[in-house]
Amino acid sequence: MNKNINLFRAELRRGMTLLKAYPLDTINNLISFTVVSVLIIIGINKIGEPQQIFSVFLFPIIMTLISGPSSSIRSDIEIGVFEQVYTSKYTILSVGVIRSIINAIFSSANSILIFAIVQLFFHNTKWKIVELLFVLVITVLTSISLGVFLAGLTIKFRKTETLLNLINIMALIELIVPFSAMSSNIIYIISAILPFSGIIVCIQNIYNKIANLNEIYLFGTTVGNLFIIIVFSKFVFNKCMKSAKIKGDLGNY
Amino acid sequence: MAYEKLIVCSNIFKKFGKVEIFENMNITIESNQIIGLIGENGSGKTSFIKLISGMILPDQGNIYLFDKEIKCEKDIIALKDKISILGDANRSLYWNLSGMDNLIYFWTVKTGLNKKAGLMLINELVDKFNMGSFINKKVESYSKGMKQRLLLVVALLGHPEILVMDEPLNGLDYENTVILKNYINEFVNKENGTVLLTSHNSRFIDEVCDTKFVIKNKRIEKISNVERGERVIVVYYKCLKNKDSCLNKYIREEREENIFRVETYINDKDFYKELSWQIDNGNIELLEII
Repeated sequence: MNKNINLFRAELRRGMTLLKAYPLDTINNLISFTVVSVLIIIGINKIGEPQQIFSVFLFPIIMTLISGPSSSIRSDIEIGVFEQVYTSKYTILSVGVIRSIINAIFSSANSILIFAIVQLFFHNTKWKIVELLFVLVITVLTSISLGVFLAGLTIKFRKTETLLNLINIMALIELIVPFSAMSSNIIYIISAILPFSGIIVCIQNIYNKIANLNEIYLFGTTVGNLFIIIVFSKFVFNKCMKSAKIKGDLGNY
Repeated sequence: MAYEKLIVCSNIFKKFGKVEIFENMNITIESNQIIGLIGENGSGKTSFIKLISGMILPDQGNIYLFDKEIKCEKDIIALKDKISILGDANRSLYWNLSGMDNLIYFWTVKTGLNKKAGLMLINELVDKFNMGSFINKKVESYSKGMKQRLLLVVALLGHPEILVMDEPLNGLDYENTVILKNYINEFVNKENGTVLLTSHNSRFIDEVCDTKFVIKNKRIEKISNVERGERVIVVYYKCLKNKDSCLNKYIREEREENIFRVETYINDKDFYKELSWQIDNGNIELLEII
């Protein structure tokens, strides 16, 4: 545990140094992302149901965590330090995941800003801390798991940006689908299959003032879906890693 | 804990697609030596380093590191702090961070310990390797020699028992080559470490190594123990400061004003130490090594 905390601190220090080194990029990222998100929210609010805009605040965190592990590997390959990191005390997966969490902490500034804009200018809804925590924990774990899946593919196939972009767009589309307007049975099936859908239903239920904690089936399918994604992603990552080691792809940069 | 045999590879077979890299390859590397591995480009030197660092898996055969057979990722991670690998110094470092930030970061990554625990060692190494004047600048502004020194310090951070250097001479000038030779000798003699060098430059291997291996016909063969004092090295240099104190205990003649020629045995480690000190202190400028 201490070992991982030390890595977290070291990565946080590195991340902060890089943020300070490129101030224009840092500010531009915060402003442009928030502006685009607000434009999306305004558009959906005009033509859709009000509950559809409620999950958009999760998008910066989801996007950062999904792309985190694979972009960590890719950037280490591009800079040339992959071998150094590989021959360290940590697995490249743990380095990638911790970097993603740190990047997600940085991008939570975007999420907080979007959340505040929705609450102040669109719909002020009361959140229970337990519900908010549940939403955040499941979102973070699902996103990291998808990130691990992509990291595996990156090790094997090197370039995975197009797939990453596709997954990000799919996630954004999913965030604005009015799931809660569908029938219960369809909701359960979708939340068992599609990542994030259970969480989006939970958020839309909060808007519709439906108590999520009574929805035991929704809770079960959401957690079950997360469990399957975790197992599947780790399996794909391990397979890709082993294949790269056998074929000699690892470190051939 | 002292290990007599640090690396043992037995009956290794490795193929990439249809290309066979190793066929029944065997090698035993003993501790406290400088080992040279030579071979033509594409003969499998880097593949061998990847094999012992766990980056590639053999198709057949066994690899033992520090008397422990390497079977899975966990075995490799447990031994990672004992082996440090130095690649190309132009890559292998975060160029967008300062040298100090690189050292602090890699200290944690290589040891799993926090910044505080490593600061004393880091400062010691920075002083020892004369990096104080540039350590807080970004790595992108470093010369190749500075990067090589920084990378060497990064490699030494976790107190490794084996230093693996893949083509360490790439892009290095005479002066930095001499400094590197001196560091290698120090690591083996003072810190009881073991160095594994790969190079296609057999002269460098002859000069530095105790034992020499060659990759030939998909196998690794031991050539011979390089005999000390067998060959002679000739160095031409320009004296920049007091010419009477520069390397005068070696056979020396003044070719032109302030340009000297010295001669000694190729494995004279004291000579490299003295030469390295003179270069570091700006007393001499190397012109040619023959």
